Amino acid sequence: MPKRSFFPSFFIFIILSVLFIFLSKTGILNGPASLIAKIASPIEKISFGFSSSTNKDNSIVAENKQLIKKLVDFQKMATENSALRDQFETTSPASQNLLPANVVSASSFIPGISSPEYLVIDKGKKDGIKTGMAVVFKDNLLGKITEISDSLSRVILVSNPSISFSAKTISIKGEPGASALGIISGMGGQDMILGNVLLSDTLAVGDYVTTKGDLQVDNAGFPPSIIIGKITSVEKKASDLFQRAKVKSLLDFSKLSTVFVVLSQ
Amino acid sequence: MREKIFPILFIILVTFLEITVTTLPLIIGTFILLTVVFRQNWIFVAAFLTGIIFDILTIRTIGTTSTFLVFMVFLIFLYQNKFEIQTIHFVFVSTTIASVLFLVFLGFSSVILQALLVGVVTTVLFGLLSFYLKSSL
Repeated sequence: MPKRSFFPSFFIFIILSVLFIFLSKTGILNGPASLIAKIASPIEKISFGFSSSTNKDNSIVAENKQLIKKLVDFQKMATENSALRDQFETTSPASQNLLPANVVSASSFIPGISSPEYLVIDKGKKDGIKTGMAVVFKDNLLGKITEISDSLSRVILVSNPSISFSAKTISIKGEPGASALGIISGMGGQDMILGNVLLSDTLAVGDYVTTKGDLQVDNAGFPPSIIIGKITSVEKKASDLFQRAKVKSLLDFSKLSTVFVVLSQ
Repeated sequence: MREKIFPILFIILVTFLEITVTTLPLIIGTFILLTVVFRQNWIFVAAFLTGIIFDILTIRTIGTTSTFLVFMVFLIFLYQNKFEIQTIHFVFVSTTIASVLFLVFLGFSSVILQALLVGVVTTVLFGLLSFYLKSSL
């Protein structure tokens, strides 16, 4: 190849790429991009299906999740009843409007071994999804929508290091109704840290952590009482201002093929 | 045209793997390998189109990955004017550095480990390809 003959090709395609960035920002490319996404969606599903077909959830794990959900619901009801009796607060669990979506991609470092960094689902703006909406699976929090196109959305997982939000604990082993407030931060994989918990609050290994609820008027944010995970270890020092706990999600993010977007509470 | 069919199929396969299954920057390794082996202008077209498809299907600003890939191919072409690029050292170092930059650009974790792994895989593929091309001549 003669020297410098690649310069015209480089300039043409670098200018085209920059032009595409500007057009993409203006939204002109949404239509063609949506069409390409639709065409590629079946191929993506096949490709993702190959990697996840060997990782199907077994019945014991599914049953365990159901029992944990019942346990958390029971604890929640007990707390609510107690609160109602005392006339301090009343809550009425509202039905959630969930939109089922198929996972079309879940890229991870080593597929099947490491947890994915994010998920792409086959629902987008056209289906009423907005940035910030929560994504759940069997009452377990999965993450939130960060990017949307007309027919696809990207879900940042709850264990992603860039995510943090308020959470509360539900005591299973300790006194019923006791709960601690804190901030959940992602640690990668399936792990999270529940930090900023007052030393006077009780944290115990085996307690469940749920969302505190931070819904906004446009339904972006997390609804209350969605299970985030289970406390696996507690770090408490008398000299520190706060205590913290390591939390592990009950979901194996790499095994999910269908998830649910919380459209409204 | 026939000699381009296999590389194009390989690019398509790798692109879909990276979009759906793994965060390993396989696209980077593939384009460095193809640029070093073929040294032809069609790689700019392939880099541009691959970047566009990647951005659409991973819901990123369309054109950002294309810019990265086209610029990376350009740098390798520029480098070949002064130095020998068809060496194992060049393939390993350039793939690892480009992978680190690409993973940081995409905001992924385990950057060094993933970049080194892709560097090793690309270098092995380059070695095998060089051996095959030499023995077939």
